[in-house]
Amino acid sequence: MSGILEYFQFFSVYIWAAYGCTLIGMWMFYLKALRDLKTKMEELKRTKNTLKPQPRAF
Amino acid sequence: MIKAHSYLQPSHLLTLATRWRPWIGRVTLCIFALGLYLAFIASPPDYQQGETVRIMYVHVPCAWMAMGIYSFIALLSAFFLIWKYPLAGIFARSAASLGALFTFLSLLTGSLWGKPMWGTWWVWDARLTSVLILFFLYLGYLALLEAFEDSERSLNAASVLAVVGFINVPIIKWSVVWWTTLHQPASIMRIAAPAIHISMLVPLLVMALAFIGYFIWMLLLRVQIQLLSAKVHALQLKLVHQSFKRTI
Repeated sequence: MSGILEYFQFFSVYIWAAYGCTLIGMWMFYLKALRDLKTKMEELKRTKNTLKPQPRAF
Repeated sequence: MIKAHSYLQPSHLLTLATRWRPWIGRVTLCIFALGLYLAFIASPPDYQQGETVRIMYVHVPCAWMAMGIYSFIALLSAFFLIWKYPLAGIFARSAASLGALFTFLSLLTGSLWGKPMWGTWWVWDARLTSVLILFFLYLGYLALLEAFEDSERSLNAASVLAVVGFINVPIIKWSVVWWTTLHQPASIMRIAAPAIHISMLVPLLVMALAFIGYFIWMLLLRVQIQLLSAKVHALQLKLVHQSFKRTI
């Protein structure tokens, strides 16, 4: 545990902040794109279902 | 025989994007892991900057991507404006938010590098200011894409901005030569051999490769979203047409 802590303290906060912001930013962008894709796929499925012939009384 | 241009059909592209995207993602993650190992463990500290030089391995690829993606968008926008090729518009639209992300990250990591090295987070120097203008160009492009209800009109306006704004890319590149700046001059992309030591050049190039992989991975994902949106829009139009026919 202390070894890990020493390793973290070895590099300055600026280095960790630069890498952290970059990797978290890229990861968040990926998650947002995945969520958008899922929403679009559901929208497509819903629209396709609406286009199917519906039972009509008249 | 399948002709090369058949891959540029939206339906083919959607299949290709779905099939190849996970593999590109896996390869990118492996290159990222290697790049991070080289950046943190294998590469030596700088003789002047010490360990802080390690910020270079994320800052420089971000800056390269910011400029490269803008050039890519400008080229596709010119294609779209001249030949009205719809896929060029879809690719340019999909790449814009990625370009804005990389520009923001290059400004942020540059600031985090500037504080310990220059003693300040920000200076209004030619390189930093021109990159900030690039970020505003990206924001303007994204805002114009949503500015009109007619998506083609929006894309036309955004494409004009992208082409005109391309003038900023060579300004960014040569700003450190044309003006006296606090930012260091080019050490890799220059006419003479790279000034950077090989032990730092290799991790930098591996990280740059990982960023390119990430860009292709995310671009395919965004293109897939755009193509699905177009499909939904076409189906909704069909639905409106059907209900209109029923009413008459």
